[in-house]
Amino acid sequence: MPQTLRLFSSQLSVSNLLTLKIFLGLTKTDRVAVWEYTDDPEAATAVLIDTDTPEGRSQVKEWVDRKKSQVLIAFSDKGIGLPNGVLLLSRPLRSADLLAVLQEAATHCTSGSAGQERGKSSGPAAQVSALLEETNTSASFTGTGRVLNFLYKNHDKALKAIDRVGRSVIFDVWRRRYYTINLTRTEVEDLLASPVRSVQIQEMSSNDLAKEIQNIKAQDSDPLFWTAALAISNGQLMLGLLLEGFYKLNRWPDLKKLGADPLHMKLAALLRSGGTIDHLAHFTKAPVENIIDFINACQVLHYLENQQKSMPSVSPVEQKKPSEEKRGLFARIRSRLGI
Amino acid sequence: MKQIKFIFTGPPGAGKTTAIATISEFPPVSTDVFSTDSLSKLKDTTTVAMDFGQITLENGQKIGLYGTPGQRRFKFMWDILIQGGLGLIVLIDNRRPEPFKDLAMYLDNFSEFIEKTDAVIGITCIDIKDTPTLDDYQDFLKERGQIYPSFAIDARNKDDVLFLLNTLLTCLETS
Repeated sequence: MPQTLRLFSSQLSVSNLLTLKIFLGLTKTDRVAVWEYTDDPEAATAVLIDTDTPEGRSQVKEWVDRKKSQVLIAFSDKGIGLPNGVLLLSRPLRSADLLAVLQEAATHCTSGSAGQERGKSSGPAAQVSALLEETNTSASFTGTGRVLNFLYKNHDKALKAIDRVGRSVIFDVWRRRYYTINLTRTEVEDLLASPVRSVQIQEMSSNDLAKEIQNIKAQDSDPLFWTAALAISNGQLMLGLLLEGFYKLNRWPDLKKLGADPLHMKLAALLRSGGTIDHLAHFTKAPVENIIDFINACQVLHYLENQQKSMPSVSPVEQKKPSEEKRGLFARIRSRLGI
Repeated sequence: MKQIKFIFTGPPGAGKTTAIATISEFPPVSTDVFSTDSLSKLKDTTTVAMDFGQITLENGQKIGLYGTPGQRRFKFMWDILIQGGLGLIVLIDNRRPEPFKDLAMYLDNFSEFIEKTDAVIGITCIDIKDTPTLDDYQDFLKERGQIYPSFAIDARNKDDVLFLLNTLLTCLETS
């Protein structure tokens, strides 16, 4: 029987609070813990505080000072300066992230019994654990430990991911297709952004894959992975990529399909001849975080050459300076054509 | 004074005349004749000298939109038309028997011009014949050591043609 646990929140906006209550409903079918919302802080098993407000930050401090027994969850953009033991739920509020944090909170409440249960599991679950172990101990792309990174690492496989409420999506990573009957595109994006440990992932044989996708429409996973990579980057390079690295495209990203962001178009044009993140930021005058997001997205879709650690003395990007006259002409053409 | 212009090239039937028509401020002036060869199965007429369209900028400057004749036997016209060209839009008809060969032929024949300017590639009719795929084209370009923006487009769709031009302008701004 699952335990019923209660969550209280503080400093959340009205819309986030409403969303939170809806998301808590997703735990109804959970086998370990069902979460309910409570307005009584004393009755709560866990407390969620928006720590991006001054009041929220002082509440966290007060909570820690009083050594309350509840699990404390900080809802924050960066989670900088949080006391030890406080769980972090990153902004924006996403169901997958919330469910992962609640799972961790439930584990804290049950003195780690959930973790032991996981260890005892057998069959497909054991296979998954083994798969996850393998990824978690490998040297690269495990920093954020997100499902997207896991799929990137296993780009030659077909994998089935099952969320905590039993909804599934099949990724034929090699053929860049995905299949689902009960998840929306946004929900699959959320799943990709969620920690690997919060999702069950099973490797599928080609026979199993063929059987399971018989009556499901294939969807192109490129736009999905692209959007998810941009969304979860948070200005941090995927592990294995270096801030001072030299990056170059090996092919042009299909930005017509992936979204015609003018910055991405410009970065793609520059990366045909290659450059460092600093050079790209200098040339485009865009924030470094946005350049990093683009580099990550290109990496996930294998648009990048293997990066060179040592950069050429003068980046090709640096040499590109269109004349004022030409820039004026191009701007007038764009303006005339409305692009 | 040489007129500033964009050059549209590609095999017969790829949609050069149509693409120019979608953005030109007047219907393109074409020098079409009735097709007499195997092309007549695909289209009634073909361009023998050039297509000409135009856009006028806010300051009154005219930008020409020139479509080259598709067949290689009109290559002498290509060399004339590219004078003053800002960049090249290559349209490839995916229905043709050897679209890679077509692409290679245009990229090779316009290589000097592309080197001085830039190029984008629009693959048409990929909705009618889905192979080779856009990925196949990218692989083909990669093997040639070239990275050109390549997209599946519908030459009748103004947004698609503008997307190609926008990408070309972005490339020109960085080259």
